[in-house]
Amino acid sequence: MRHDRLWLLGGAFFALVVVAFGFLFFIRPEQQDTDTIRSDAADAQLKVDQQRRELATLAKQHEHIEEFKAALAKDQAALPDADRASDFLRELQSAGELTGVTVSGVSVGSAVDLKALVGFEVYALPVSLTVAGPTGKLNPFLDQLQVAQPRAVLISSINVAPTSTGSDRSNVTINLQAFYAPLS
Amino acid sequence: MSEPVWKREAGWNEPGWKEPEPRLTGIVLPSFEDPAAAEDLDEFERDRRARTAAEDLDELERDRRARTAAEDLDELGRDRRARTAADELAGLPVPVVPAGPPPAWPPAAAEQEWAPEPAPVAAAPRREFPRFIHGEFVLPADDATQAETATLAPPAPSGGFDPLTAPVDVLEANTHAPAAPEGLRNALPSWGMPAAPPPSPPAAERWERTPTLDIPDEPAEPVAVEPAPAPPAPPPQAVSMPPVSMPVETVAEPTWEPVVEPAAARTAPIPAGEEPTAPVPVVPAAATAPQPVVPAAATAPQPVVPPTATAPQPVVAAEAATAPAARKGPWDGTPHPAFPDATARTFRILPIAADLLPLEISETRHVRRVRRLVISGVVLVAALVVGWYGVTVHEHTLAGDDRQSILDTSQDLTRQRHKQYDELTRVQADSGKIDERLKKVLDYDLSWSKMLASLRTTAAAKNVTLSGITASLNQESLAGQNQGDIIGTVTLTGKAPTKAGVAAYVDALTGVSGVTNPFPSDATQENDGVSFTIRVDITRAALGGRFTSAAPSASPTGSK
Repeated sequence: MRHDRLWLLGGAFFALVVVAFGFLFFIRPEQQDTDTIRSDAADAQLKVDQQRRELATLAKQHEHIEEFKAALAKDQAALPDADRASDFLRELQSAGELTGVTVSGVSVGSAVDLKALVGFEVYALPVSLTVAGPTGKLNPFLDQLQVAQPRAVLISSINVAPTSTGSDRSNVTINLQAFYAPLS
Repeated sequence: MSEPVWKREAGWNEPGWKEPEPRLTGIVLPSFEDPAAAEDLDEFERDRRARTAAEDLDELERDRRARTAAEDLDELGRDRRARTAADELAGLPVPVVPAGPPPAWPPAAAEQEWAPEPAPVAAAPRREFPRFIHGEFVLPADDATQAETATLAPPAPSGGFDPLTAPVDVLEANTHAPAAPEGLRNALPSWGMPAAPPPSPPAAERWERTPTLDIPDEPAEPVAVEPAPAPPAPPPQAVSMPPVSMPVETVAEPTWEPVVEPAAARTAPIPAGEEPTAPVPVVPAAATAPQPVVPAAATAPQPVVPPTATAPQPVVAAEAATAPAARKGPWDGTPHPAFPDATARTFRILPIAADLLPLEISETRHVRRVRRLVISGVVLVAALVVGWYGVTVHEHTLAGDDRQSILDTSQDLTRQRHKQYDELTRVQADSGKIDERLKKVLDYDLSWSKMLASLRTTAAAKNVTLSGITASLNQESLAGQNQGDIIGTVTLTGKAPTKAGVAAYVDALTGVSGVTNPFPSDATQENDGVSFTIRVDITRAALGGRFTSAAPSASPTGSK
């Protein structure tokens, strides 16, 4: 074979080798890194867009921050970070007076840890109430306990019994649980 | 001075040796050697030497002729021309008359290049030969030019004797040969200087070699010369020079170029009755022409001040006055001694070529070119790959910059959120956390007031009186592990008028929301009615509290 053809073929082969080597070992990895970076950039862009939307929402909500603070305070009153038993007793007394019944007896048991049941640190105070009053005013008292008063309670049992035969007054025994959860 | 090559050959000086006949056997570059021996001289060289020898004439003779020539000149300009004519007279005759087609060797380009001074403006036309210029065959000047030259050419001699073409011996033998044309006076031999004025020329102006020029009437410089000692110039005898039969080409260029004399011209007889009687036609048509002929030197860039009458020189014109100072060489028209009859055709370059380069060298060069091409291509490809990699790196950098910019933006937004809305977010977070916990622990909260009210309402509708209600959530529900629909039980006690009333109440309890499976466990007939005990189950439909639903149910008979 002539020398010029050898040079031509060799040069073409060497050029191919140069192109392949450069592509496989330099260009392609760089392109892959570039694709990864672009994907991350796209995700980051989505996150940025979400942040912008959140900021816009926060900007609007910030105008009602006092309402949010009041809601937080209400929630904290419903589930205080401590037992607040005294406050709870005052609330019961107030509820009875408001509804026209008499809270004759209140017994508060020891706190029960419900973390195993609910998965977070929360304690339940077992409370037993004895309420006497007209039968027609028992329901408002129950509503006061469950809806109106700040402390959240879970009534587990109710026993309504008339005080006497043919009487309109009833004695109500209510077993309930008051909760508190320290904020972590 | 070295001898010619042919002389250096063995036996050239032997008695039987005969000079070889000069003929061309091939293209030989001319040699600048000058022949040494007199026998080596050709006719042209002899002519040149004869002119050199003629310069040795005594000054008296030249002065006399100069004074004679300047007699009739009144004005200073004419005196100057008279002196010029005298100088021309002083120029000794040239034994050789250039005739025949002048060869173009050396080439015209070299001749112009080596010319000692610029050519005169009024140079006569030269004969042109077909030449190869840049590989093309160029014909000589067109016919019109030749015709014009022919009209300007002097008339042919009437007697058949042509001094321009006659050999030297004939010219010397025949001193009565007709006078040469004015343009070739410098080339005339000694017989060309007659004493008697020739008859007036019939058309002297027509065949004037050099065209007439308008000389401004400011004879300042030439006039400053004292023309007094110079005798008056002879009448324009040269005007009366008989016409000479001369080829146009010969008239055109009276230079020292080689002469190719035709054989007929060499043997041409000298006309008897038309001998050149005008020896020195110094200023032809000077007296009659309105504008005198100016020598060629007058048009030169630096006009040569005509010599004074005391030192007249031949009028071989200005070119003859300055030419001797320059070096003589073959470019001046001197033929090569080895080729006296060489013409331009002899020295022309043949339009043929042959590639005699060895094949090995050609192939080696080709391979070398291919190698350079391949290496350049590979380098180019490598450069392209490098450029590709550079573009990729650039894109990678741009992508990294974009990502970093986005991350920076995200960080800025986060920082702005923490700075401006940290309190709000904290309030919302705490509130949400508490709500979540309350929802978890109050998952089985239900509105007891609503349930009790429904039971009582239903009993009243069936004329049943409820005396006691006992309701409770089962333990699974309190533990948050109840998977069924029944979350508690309710036990109802009361009195109904009849058992049918109890049954009707039981049936009615199935329509109460939140309870199911009413079951009359006890119905006892008493004096005032039937006392009964009914047990129902509480379902999930009864669930719903303040923190577990959006609108916690309230008792329809509540105080609110």
